[in-house]
Amino acid sequence: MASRVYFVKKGQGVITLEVKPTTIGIASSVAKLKKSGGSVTDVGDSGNDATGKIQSVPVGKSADLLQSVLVITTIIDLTAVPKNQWNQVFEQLRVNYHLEGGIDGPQDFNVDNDDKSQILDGKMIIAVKAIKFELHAIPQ
Amino acid sequence: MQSPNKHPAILFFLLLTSGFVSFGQNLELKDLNVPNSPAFTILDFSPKVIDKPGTAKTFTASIVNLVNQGSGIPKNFAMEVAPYWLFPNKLTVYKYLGIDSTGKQRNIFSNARNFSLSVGSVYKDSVKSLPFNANYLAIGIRINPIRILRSKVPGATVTTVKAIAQELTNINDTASRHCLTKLDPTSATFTVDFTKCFEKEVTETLKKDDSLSKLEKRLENILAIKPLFQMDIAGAGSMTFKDNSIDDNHHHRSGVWMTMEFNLPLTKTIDIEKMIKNKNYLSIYGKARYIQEDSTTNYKTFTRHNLLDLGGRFEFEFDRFSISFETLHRINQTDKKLNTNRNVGIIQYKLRDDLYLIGSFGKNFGSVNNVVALFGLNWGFGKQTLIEKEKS
Repeated sequence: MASRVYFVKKGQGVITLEVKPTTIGIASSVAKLKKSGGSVTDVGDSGNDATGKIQSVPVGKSADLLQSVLVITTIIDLTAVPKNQWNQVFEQLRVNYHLEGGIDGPQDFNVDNDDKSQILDGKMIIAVKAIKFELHAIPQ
Repeated sequence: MQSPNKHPAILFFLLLTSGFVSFGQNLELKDLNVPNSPAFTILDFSPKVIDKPGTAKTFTASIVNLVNQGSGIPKNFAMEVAPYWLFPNKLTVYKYLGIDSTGKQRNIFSNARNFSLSVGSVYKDSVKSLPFNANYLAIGIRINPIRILRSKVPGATVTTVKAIAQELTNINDTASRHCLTKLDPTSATFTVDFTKCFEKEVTETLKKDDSLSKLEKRLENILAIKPLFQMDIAGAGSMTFKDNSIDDNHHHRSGVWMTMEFNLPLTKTIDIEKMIKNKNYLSIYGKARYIQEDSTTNYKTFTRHNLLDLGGRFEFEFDRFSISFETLHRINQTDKKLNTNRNVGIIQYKLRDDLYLIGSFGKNFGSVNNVVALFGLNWGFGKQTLIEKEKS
């Protein structure tokens, strides 16, 4: 459940994010940025798109993102799925977090087992991914 | 003498049984399915011969009386597995429901992915007409290749699914902002703390938020609207094991069959709201079945019969209560003098969502031992008896 790191440089390049859950449940994703100063800004959400996708959205300029944390939360509702499949849907859940614009260019993060949990007897799944933006330490 | 490892039915059985052991440890009684799988149907040990087409669950195990008495093949059991769901897939909620995000049925074949494999056995003690003990083991496959929804259903489904998604996004947004605002992102435990906070916020909100639960209930009711038409195709093969001995086996019965279901709601079908509230249906089923059977009275000589069953079932369903009548005409292609009929009435009452009281009365195939008189409780998701008494 540790935060992941995406390296950026001190510049004006824009970092973008795309979120793609893969599940048969009704999904919703929300991405927010917690800045080092304490403020919280909205990055994007999936609205009423039940697949939980967030299409490519700008997170901010590289230089402004240093020491900030991007938090993507996904809630999945399994009302449309028979109860005896809930655990299996939980096990099979995949979420891809795609970032672009940093030092390493496009980079994919995926939901890890300890990023997800079940609530309400398994009827709902929650997935949380936190990605920190840090300055890339360029070897001399 | 035939080695078990050379026998495909036994290999299949062992394969499924090994799956049963690994999955079965977490099974609860309420998860036990009733034996309406093809493997069980081919053995003619069910109150209904004409099953409703439907979707097999990811993994279900059925027990009429799962008693393995220490040796041989387990007696009186059935289990069914839908292999597609054992592996990761790329389905979205819309594809899973067989519709697209614009509110149209995506394709009428999408339910085919729920094809299932099943295995079952029925143990019969020696009786006067069949003077030997035998365990009948069957394997089967079932597929639901065609499912046509009522025209208003996909649109109403999409509207409700989107409303649920929007409601989730609102809850998600509020909980995320609340937790992010009060937590320090430089803390070493930020992610753990955030996750705990977020789970707590979402859980509490969901427990209080009746707008989401109303939408979920509406979706459940829409999904419960019976399809206009659907079709099942199934096949199964069975073996007789005299005295439950693996070595002493003989082909019992094999067959393929097709069931078609047409549902007519007893309300106006142009008004989706009336269809959502409606619990009353007239259902008509048609069935064609081809069976090859090796019959015997002494387990020494066998007579092969090629049987063609044609028939149907009418069912009136009034919310919790249903009454139906099924009739099948069996054409014996080997000896037309042996042509026969099965005519059975079925009454069923739903005590709870997972508990049914069922009675089945009438005449089975043949001229002897042909009285069907079943009465029992069914605890599961299907609609056949789990505990039953048979008189014949």
